[in-house]
Amino acid sequence: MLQFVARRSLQGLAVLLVVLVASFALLKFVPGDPARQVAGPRATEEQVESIREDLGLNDNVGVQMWRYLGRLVQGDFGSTTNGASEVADLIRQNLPVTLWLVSTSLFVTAIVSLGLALLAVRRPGRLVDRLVVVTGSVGLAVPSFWLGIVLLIVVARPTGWFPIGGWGESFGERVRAIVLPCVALTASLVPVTTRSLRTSMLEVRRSEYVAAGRSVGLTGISLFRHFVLRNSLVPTVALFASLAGMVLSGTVLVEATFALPGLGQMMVVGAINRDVNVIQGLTVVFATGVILFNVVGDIVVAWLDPRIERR
Amino acid sequence: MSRRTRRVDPMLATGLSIVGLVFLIGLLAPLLTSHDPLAQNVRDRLASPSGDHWLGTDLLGRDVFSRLLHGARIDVPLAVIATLVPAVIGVTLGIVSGFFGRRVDAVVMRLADVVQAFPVYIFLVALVFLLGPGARSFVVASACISWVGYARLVRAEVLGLKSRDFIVAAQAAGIGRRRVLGRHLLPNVMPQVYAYMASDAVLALVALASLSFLSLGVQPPEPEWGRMIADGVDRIRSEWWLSAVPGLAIVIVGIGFSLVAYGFERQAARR
Repeated sequence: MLQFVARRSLQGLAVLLVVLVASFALLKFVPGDPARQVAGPRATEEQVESIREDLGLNDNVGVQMWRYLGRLVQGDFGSTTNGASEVADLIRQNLPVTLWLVSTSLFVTAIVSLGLALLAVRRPGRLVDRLVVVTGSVGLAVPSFWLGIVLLIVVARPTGWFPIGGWGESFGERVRAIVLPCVALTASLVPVTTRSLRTSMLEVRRSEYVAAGRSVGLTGISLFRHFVLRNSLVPTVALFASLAGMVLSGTVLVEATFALPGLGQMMVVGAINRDVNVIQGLTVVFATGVILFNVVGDIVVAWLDPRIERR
Repeated sequence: MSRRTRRVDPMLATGLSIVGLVFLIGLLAPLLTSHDPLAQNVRDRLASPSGDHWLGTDLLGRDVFSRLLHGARIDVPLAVIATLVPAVIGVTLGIVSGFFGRRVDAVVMRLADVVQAFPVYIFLVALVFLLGPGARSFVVASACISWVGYARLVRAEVLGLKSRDFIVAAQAAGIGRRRVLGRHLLPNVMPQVYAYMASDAVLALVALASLSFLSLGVQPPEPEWGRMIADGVDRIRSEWWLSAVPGLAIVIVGIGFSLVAYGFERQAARR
């Protein structure tokens, strides 16, 4: 087990390193001269040249990359292009909103899709099952940001229970602010998760040990609980580990719709303002999150089902 | 069942009809409406739906119905292109990876790992940032990201087929690699690829609208559906249809593509 944890962590670190190098390359490929951007349009050629020297842009690329990686390790992502604030500070300010949104959405998604998948699998081919299959394919076609707007139109506007957008000061306001974004995000995830849970549970249902359980006279609930449900745990955990990327993708759109001051919103604003450091910093943060999530997920899965370790 | 009596899957037929119909509407848009989708009329802004403007007008006094129809000329073809380009790249890499294997395989699969370490929209936004906003950047970015799914799918299929009797037999009979690939392997892989393409088209459609919604995709004043939703966001308290209706168009086309995918899947499973 320890060996597996070590190996999987090292693999994660390797991917992370490639991601970091890729994010450095991103900076290098951006059109335009960063020194000129900092200097402003009215700077003379000498001023630009001295800034270029200060920023270390005249050094060899390997040296620059090494310096970049060194800064990242210390949590220094540079400042925003307008020089007003540090990217790391902005990330720290915006992180809580995104964490709130991601964790509540994952939690709700887990419960809803597990419930739906269980209902569907108990009687395959019947009404609930068919509904799950149909909504699964329809759901993908519904853009989450649009669903958010529809929720604003049909729920927030007439009832007045939820703000039309934005974050709150007090805890109560924040809870109310996060309900609809969470629903929008969950609704975009549930079709995918339910469908894949249903498939893996059907596989379990058809497997030999369920047949064996049946042959010794187990029926209904007890067969289901002891054989189907327990063996569905592993694919469920594996699914949620692989979900990290989708959830983070979703936050970019949902935060924009509901004007939530989170990391996704920050990324979009950074892209519109063409702010290299913001994009770079967030790419690194998001990728790290996904890799971490995947590694931990794999370890949990291996712990639940020791057979996986040997693969 | 013989080839002759094999009917087209009803799901597939319905899906193709939906997508085809919307595409046709887009093609005929200039004939179906007399309003110019770009013509602004400041005196007639935010008009309610009426006989003249079926869906009213937007903030700049442009006819929303006309923009909706013209949107089909942008969203549907772009979604198809953003599906085809990565499909060609991914299938090629998947075949090379699975059939010839070894070093190429290792490189391609590690590359796929790195691409998948990024959440899709984070990667899309970063790439569009790099390339500058616009439809072309969207297609290039899709190509950089979406090939992974095809490559993995095709590689797995090819690896599975490689050891099957009919392929081994063909190779033992001295048939050249290229011919084995074209005549024996590809025909068995493509049905799954078609199904995957159709479901990928749904994602491409939604991704294009999402990027445009974030002002990183198709740029104004083009009547793109995601852009139209964004334009209406500030008016949802009163003119809510400005944002609601274009989204419905996306959902309809998306369901069309989903049905196509479902139909292809069933056809592939039946073989």
